[in-house]
Amino acid sequence: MRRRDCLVSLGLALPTVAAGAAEPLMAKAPTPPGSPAVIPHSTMWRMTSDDGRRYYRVMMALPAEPPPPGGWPVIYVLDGNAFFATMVEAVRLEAFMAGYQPAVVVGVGYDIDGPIDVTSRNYDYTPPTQAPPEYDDRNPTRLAGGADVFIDFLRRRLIPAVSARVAVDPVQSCLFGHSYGGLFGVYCFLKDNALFGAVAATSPSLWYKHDHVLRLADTVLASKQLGGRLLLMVGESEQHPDADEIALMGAQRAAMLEKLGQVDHAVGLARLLATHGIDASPHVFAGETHVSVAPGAISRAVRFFLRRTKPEGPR
Amino acid sequence: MNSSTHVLLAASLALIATPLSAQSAATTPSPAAQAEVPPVPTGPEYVAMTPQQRYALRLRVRALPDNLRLPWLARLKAAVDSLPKEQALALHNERNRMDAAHGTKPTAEKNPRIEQFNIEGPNSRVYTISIARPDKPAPAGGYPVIYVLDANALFNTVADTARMQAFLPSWSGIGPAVVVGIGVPGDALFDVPGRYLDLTTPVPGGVSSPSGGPPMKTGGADAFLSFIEQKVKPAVEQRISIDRSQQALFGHSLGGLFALHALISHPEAFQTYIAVSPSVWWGNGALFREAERFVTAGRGNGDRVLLTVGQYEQAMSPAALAASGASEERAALDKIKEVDRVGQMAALLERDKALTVRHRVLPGEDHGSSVPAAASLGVRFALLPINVFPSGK
Repeated sequence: MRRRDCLVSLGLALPTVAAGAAEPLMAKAPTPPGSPAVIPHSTMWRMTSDDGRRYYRVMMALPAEPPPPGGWPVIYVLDGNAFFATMVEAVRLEAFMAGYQPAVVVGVGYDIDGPIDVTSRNYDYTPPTQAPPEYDDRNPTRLAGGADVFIDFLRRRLIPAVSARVAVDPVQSCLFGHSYGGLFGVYCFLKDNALFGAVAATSPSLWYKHDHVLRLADTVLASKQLGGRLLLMVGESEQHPDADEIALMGAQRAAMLEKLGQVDHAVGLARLLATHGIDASPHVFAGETHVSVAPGAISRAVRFFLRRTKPEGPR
Repeated sequence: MNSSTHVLLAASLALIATPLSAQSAATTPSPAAQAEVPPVPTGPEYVAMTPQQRYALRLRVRALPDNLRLPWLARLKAAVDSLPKEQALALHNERNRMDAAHGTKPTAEKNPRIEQFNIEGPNSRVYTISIARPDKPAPAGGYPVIYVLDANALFNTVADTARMQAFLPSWSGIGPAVVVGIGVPGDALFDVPGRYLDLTTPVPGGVSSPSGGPPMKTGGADAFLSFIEQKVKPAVEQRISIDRSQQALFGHSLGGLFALHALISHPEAFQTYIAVSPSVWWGNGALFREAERFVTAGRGNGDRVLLTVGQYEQAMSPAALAASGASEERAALDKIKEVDRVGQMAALLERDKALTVRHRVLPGEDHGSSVPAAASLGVRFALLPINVFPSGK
């Protein structure tokens, strides 16, 4: 166990603090301070974008055993502050319970305390649609359109930083994104098709800038053959909330959801891809909302990304 | 996240002051001086200041207590929002740059969201308790709480799920909740012998160990529940404000068995019981006999009970059929009939009209993969008004 030199505290790095096992039992003082939580076999480092405007916190969790000859599969998780730990646990649980391959999980997060850095992700995850600077129609103070810059950051800096630390299998390089992160996943699949071998896009914001990415898909598919695999997922209630959910959110928001057409867009993209021989039939999670769908989607992405190599484990 | 709803949130995230770092704390004036509230500049006045003046002003405001600081920041936000968007954006970027350069950008080290400590439990064994603190302040009566068993494997999934559900409460209907993990020290995903003891009712002679060691002891569930009630809950409540009328217990597999046993033996201990793929087959169906007595005696007291099970805990998934060892797995699944038996348990508990029982078969999920989807359902089940919880029909 390399606990002292290989730790990540949850969204909150504190590499010098040892975890539970090394702490003395608390018994004397009434309420001694605890220690920050850590994920075993994990590490964290910080990076800054080339333009110095976005601060990344990269979280990486490794399998406990030595890597196979070809290296580990790697799963990159966008919005890492929010979803990294869930992905790590899903990968480990499926390896333990159902015999799936162990994998490295890399959370691409921002250097913040909260779960979502709405400003930075708005730039990184949205495709360019005009000459910069570009702003988000729906959030006019936020810079947008940085997806190509972010792809460049991933290719030239982040992925090499991971490869430098751990033996990875370049063929099994996978990307998970939710919402704008899902939009980025689809964009990346179309625009830089070979960067990841598999992309799982959950609840992608395909309505962004008048369906820009859907129109891009038309153009790209007409001109080149795409490789790799794409999994599209969406929650049914993202577009079709039931009466009780409408009562909760209000009719105005329900009408907006109908207009955004999250389910229709995912189905439409899959249909378009199918005409070019790409199977991306979307998985629609019954009764799940834009946010509640994420954990189940993470679990499904694990089985999409990784191979099952052993029979089911112990109960 | 869909974005239109985030305008306000984004703007406030960009401007809201953050916890003091050690460096800015060192330069903070005395408490008396802290209470002096500087005037809020108008947008043009703020633009006319030098970056250093703006930085100094932000430092002063950060030292104010919340009741003064938050309204002040709301007014500054309104002032900045009234500026042309290029100017507003330049101000945001300047703030980020200067905070980073001066070391006042909030750093994780000083605000650990998840706190862990060890306590001694039954049979002198040591347990690691993890507390995930919500991002938002506690309601007047304290936070709702979800206690998670097998925390080494499941805690973060439930904690981050609850956190994300509370990120936009006006959409989700879910406010901040504390998630507490009950786990063990060390890196292992599961403490297999420990959980066979703590989470089960007795089986004479114990059960054989999967690793071929001596038989594992069973039957510690009652002692473990007493430990949770008498030691874990008070230790948590010393550290964070908890609403004792909104406590949930989340358990998977043997932990699900434990959650149902806890409901039946101590229905007052929690208000919501979430049993994910519960091992209702345990001890030749002993739980069915317990539940029958519970229902017959009408001991339900308004508790909520959620039972989930994955479709592929009984049927074979395509991946399972393709993997080696498929026939052995088929035989094992046939033996326990998990989907059927969990459905029977739900139907049995539903006979007690004083319980609110929900039962879900999760399409496409297996015994392990059920957990994240069930965590999302469980968080909603524990924290939403019951009529808003999706019917699943």
